[in-house]
Amino acid sequence: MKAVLVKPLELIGRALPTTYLRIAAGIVAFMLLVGALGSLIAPYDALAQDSAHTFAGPSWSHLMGTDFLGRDTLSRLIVGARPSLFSAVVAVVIGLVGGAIPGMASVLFSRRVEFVVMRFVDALMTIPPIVFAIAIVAGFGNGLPEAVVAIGVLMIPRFFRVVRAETLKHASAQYVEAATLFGASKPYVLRRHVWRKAVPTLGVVSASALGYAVLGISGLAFLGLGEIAPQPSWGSMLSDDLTYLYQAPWAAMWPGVAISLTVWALNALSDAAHTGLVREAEVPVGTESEAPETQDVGSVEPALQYV
Amino acid sequence: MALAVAINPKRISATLRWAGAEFLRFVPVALISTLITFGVTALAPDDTAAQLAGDTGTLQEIANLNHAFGFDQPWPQRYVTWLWHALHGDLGVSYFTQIPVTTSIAQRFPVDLSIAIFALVIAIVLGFGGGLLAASRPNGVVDRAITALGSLALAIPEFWLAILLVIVFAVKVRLFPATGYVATSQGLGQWARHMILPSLTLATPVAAVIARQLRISMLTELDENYVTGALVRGYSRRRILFKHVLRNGAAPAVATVGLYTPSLLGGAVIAERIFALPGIGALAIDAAQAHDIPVIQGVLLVTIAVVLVSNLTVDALLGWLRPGVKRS
Amino acid sequence: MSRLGLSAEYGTVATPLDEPLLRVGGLTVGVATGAGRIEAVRDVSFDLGRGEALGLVGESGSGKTLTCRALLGALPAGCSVSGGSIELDGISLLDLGERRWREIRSTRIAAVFQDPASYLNPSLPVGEQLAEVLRVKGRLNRRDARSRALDLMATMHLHRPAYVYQQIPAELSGGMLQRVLIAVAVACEPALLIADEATTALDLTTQREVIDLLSELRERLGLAIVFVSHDLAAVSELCDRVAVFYGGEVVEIGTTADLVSDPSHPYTEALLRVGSLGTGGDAALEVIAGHHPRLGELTAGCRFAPRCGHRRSVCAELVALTPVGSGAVRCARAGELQLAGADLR
Repeated sequence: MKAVLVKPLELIGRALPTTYLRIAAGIVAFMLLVGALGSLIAPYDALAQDSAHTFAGPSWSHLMGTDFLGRDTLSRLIVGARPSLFSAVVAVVIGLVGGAIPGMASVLFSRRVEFVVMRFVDALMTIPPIVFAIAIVAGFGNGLPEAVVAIGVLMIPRFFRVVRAETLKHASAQYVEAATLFGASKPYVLRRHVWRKAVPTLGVVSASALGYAVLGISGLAFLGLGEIAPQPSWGSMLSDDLTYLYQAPWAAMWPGVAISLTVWALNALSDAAHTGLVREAEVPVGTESEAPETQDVGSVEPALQYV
Repeated sequence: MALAVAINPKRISATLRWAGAEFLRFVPVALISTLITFGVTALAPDDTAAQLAGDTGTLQEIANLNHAFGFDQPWPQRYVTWLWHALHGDLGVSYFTQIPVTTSIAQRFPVDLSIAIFALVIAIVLGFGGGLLAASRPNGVVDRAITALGSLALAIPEFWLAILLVIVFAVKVRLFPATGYVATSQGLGQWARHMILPSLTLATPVAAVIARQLRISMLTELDENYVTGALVRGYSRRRILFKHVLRNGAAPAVATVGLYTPSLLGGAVIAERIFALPGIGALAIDAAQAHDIPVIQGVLLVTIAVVLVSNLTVDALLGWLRPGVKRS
Repeated sequence: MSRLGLSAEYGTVATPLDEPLLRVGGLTVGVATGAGRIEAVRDVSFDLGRGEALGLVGESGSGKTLTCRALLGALPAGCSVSGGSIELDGISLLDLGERRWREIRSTRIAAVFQDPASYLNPSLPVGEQLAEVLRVKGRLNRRDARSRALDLMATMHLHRPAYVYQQIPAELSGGMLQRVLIAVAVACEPALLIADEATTALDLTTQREVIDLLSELRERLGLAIVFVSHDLAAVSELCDRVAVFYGGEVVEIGTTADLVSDPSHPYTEALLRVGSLGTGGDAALEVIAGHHPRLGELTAGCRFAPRCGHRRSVCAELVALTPVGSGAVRCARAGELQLAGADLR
């Protein structure tokens, strides 16, 4: 039993060398776990109201107090993790699939097609996600799927551009040229050789995209889009907290901390992965150059991550 | 000979070429975004006519309404009609209130614009200032503090930050008002007081990204040979930093600002909710729940137009900063 | 009064005209490495008179670039001067504060480097960058700086100066950029120009042109030049004297003619045989066995000994620079060896 655990732990240990990163990974894992288990671990029913005990502060029976309807905040927080997190995952998947594949394929397009596709991606980037989500809700009704699609579609550009850039970078490598000379078709070469080179960067972008999606989904929930009350989600909880800010000013702490911690952890992992990739790429050639200072290099192109 | 140098025909032709290329990119993007707007709103399942006809409506009445609204036309035609009217300033009329959309938006959009522009200014000042400070002593105390603060700022949801700011500055300390909007016509001071908290909320994440981006590009530039060249010529560090390095290093940060305009406008919508500001966000959300399509289309269109204008401005600025760089 | 037409004077000449402009004595530069502090430049000494051209020849890593950097006060991080002296016009360059360095740079000492494009701001027209040095260091106003810049570019044999003025570096060839950089360097008429591999990245024809230009500037301005190069042929054309570097030390120094026809150090002889050091030589099939030692591989005693065909046990001891003929040599066996010279023409 122990032998089975050691190898993966070793790998994780090597991938996450610092305490800082281990904490970040731990937070993400923890949040995902909470989301998966949901109501199984919540002390109370998240929907159960108790009009006798509204706006209660933290106590032994209600660790985080209760909200304006007497519902246990901790339970709502736990149950609310799933819609907040997992819908973000779905949104990222939409963006990834919709962006990465065309992104890689885009190097094969003819000039004209490429131009049109690029303009399409540019157009997606000009629309603010929140306004877009409002429009989708207007057209297709209010609900989580609509919100997820709105955020997901608008994340396509970042995946598209990153994968396209990576493909262009690697497609001009010598071994790719050699492969095509040997008769391999271009799509085959892309699939077989270039794809795996793009995967690490894709990982970096996905992590920060997840963070962004969590923020986006909660933002929409805050506005009342994407969740139907009384189902809790972190964003809608904050909306309620705002309404009752004067009665319970510190109730707003909990969902906010939950979101911030998750997003921070995801960003930290994404940044670290990026720094790691950058260090690998900058192997000094020759005697003169020393490796440039790459502490905390930051994101691939932060702009790509937080559109 | 000196005069020949002052007027530069090459720069003029280069600028014209740039303008041509920009136009070539701008028009398709504008068209496609309007197409997306139209597609998402007008092509969705729509039972407006049925709603308006009410429970007692007959099929004939519904059909008449459909015709009146133009729903029975083929969609390309509807798109062109809509776009044509929009370009002339006519965004249609709300299905339910009968108020011209243009009027509603014109009343409310300045609020969001105010917030967004104020936020932009704050973000630029904080972002560039922070980035420069961090880059001037890499890995020093200031640098690490700014980097950490930046990470924090990027993780905090804007609406939570707004709530925190309200708690601190409006409830506990009573320095700024928690809600409400005052038009500039009623006094700049009052307007600013009401704008500060919402704008600060929006500006924070953008400032963080700008600072981070600027720091990276400045550090990269400082490693370049031309900095050594300038040092060896005996220029002061200040001159090198501001006249040379910043010019090259600022470009990615400026591009970042451009990329964040959409999110600034989107954030304004959230800020409206928190600070009770009469902007287009509230208009749009109500319209969304009522399926009031023309209003939604109008809001989207105006938003996109602002973003496109800002993109053009940023591109022009980038072209001036770095004339040699080809844009993707 | 100046030959380029500038009317300002940049500090008085501190030393009388027949004394050396530059005196380097026993210069030692230490580098902090993982294995401790290593002397990458050791006991380098040479003098340079006004209007004189000295060539620094040696392989990659032989210390010539570090020496130049020390002369410019621009040593990279981790390197510092640990011994010796540098005097320019009577001023010691070794403890100069930043402010004083700024005064001297461009006005008394200037430099051009390899890869000219990278030493200019990629976003500004090159003419503007030339005018900038005239404004900032030459204290000319905008208009005068601009017209002086155009004149300077014409002096550098740049055709159509008005056109070149407006271009950004990416739009010009390496040769043109190097001329602009030379113009920038001599704009305020310094007494000393350091040319560190200034011609290495250029094609052969352009190399010749640049060397001719440097020669011309030497005559017109009385410019003293330290010319660093791999290319012995180029060095011999421009320079009156040559210093040969190996392993961070000067192993031989003397007039070009003497050094070439009658070398005193085995390394010099080997160099002459090879014809040119590295890129561009057509006698490249001749090599010196082994490789130039890296920082961690420097031997005590004579640093060339491992590769020297004439080594004896006496070479394991530290060797000093001893005068021979018109120059000096660092070889324990200098007097005994009969070495063959070459004809570089």
